[in-house]
Amino acid sequence: MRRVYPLEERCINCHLCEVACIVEHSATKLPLAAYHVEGLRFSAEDSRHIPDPAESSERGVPKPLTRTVVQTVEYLSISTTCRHCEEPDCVLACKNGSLYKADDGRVLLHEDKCVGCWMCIMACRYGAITRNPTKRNVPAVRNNGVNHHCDLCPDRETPACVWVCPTKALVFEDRDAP
Amino acid sequence: MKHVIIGNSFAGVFAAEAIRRTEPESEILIVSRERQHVYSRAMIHEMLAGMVQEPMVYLRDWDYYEKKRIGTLLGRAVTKIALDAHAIGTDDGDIAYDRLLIATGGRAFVPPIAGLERVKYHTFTTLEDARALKAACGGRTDAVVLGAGLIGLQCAEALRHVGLNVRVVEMADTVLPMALDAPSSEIVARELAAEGIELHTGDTIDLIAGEDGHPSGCKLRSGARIPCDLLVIAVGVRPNIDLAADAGITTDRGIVVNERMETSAEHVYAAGDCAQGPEIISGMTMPIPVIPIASTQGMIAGYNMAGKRRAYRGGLSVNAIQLGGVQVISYGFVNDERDGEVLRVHDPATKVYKKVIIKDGRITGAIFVKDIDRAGLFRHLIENRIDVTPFKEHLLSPDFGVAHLPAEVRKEMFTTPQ
Repeated sequence: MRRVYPLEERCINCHLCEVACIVEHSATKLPLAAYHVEGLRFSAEDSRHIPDPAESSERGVPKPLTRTVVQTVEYLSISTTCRHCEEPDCVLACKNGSLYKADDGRVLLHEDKCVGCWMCIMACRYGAITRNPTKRNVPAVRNNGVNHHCDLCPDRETPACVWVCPTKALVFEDRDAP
Repeated sequence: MKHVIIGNSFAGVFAAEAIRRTEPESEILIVSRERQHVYSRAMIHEMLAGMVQEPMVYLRDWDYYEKKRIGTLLGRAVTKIALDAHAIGTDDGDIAYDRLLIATGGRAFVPPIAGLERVKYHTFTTLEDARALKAACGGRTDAVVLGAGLIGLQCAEALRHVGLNVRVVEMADTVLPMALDAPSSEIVARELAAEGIELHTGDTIDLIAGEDGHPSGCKLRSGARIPCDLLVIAVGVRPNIDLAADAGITTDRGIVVNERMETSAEHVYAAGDCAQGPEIISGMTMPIPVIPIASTQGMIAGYNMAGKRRAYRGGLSVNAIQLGGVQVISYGFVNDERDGEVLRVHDPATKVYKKVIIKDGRITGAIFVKDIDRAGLFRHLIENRIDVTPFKEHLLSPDFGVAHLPAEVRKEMFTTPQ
């Protein structure tokens, strides 16, 4: 299957992949509406690591819910996202079958079933799963949310992050063994 | 080829799926003592608390067996394995197999306690247990849970959520003594106390008083007396090995398996909580009753049963725990700090606590409280025995990520299909 592969030597740390991802997965797919109308804001608070997205959301500074994350150390940056593994550790760990490997190879989520137990975060060796606190299927649990990870942009031929990348630091390729 | 699987949970289901992927035409039969559609035992406390609707408890859709062409005999207890005849015996006739998977899981262990034989008590591992406990809650006010392991604490939280006074009695000095270390356990204990759950650690029940077959109070070793009209025993789970042992299959604490999930008997495999397979850090075999290991062992067993040789690299003890709104993730041997270098950050104000134990450059245990995102990277570092010495000062920094890893590790992770 075709997957998104990062070329770190081409990455210029512009974070446009994150913007494109957020916009693509917004209701309107328009940048201004996605960021302003849907209430997602960049802020000083958002620009650094926040231990609990649910708490930051309650404080009124929701972190834009990107599914691809640029990770940076000094001059090195790399855009990372779900690998859509052949035998996904997250699916093997999911405690109620919310995560599944679709017939087309994508690792997807039954959004209405996920209870936010975070077995997937424990299991994913790529650190590619985040918490979406805007959807809560078990509101009685404090800081509840659902799994959030790349879905390879079901409405697009090429995922938005790959399409937008100005330096072609993300490619969408089939590198499976023949 | 006829594949028979005893057990209808994670190991059994992932085995059946691996077989179906490899052999589209072979016959697969799942036999289970439990009548329920395939469900998750890790969801029963949320069921008990009334926090989730019943469909969320089920692991797969209703038409799952039909779609995957998996036969089922649910509500049928297996009574024996006849190795010579290549058949299993049930309470309603024998069933022949070409390949057999034992995925019988574990059962609640109930220790002898004075007075226990005269009163009604509950265990908490199956959906049936949860339904029985839920039905028994009516009119009760004071629940006592013996055991502050994961099952005990989840049960306690659920009982508290439905409005009972809840007291937890634990022999060890801390809660979750197996999964956590003292500081992280302390964070969880405070959260539980804030929810109104009374913890009696370093104590145990010496005597259970009862009236008309119902508990009325407990006398603790410390001398304390606590009210009790609903009793849950959750001191631990033991692998179900009797079927295998009675058939002469090698057992220890669990059913002993090699890296292909083969037992000592030809064409008989075991996987999940009942199995004793290789552990990845120590290289020893041990039962590790956690979902990812059950699923992975089941998948490996399934491939081998279908003739596709696959080796299991060994299990890593892992936990993802949520109690009192605090998330905890742990890996490996979290309390064994001997001869190890311990890195630690602790911020009581935010309840963030992180610890990593390093021995000979390799991580052997790690705990993450509250700040859990990207914790999975540590699983990769542990399982692949990656030398963390060159970047260990970054391990616990808030933005630790793949960019901190050596270039060759990153390359292996992000340039080829995984």
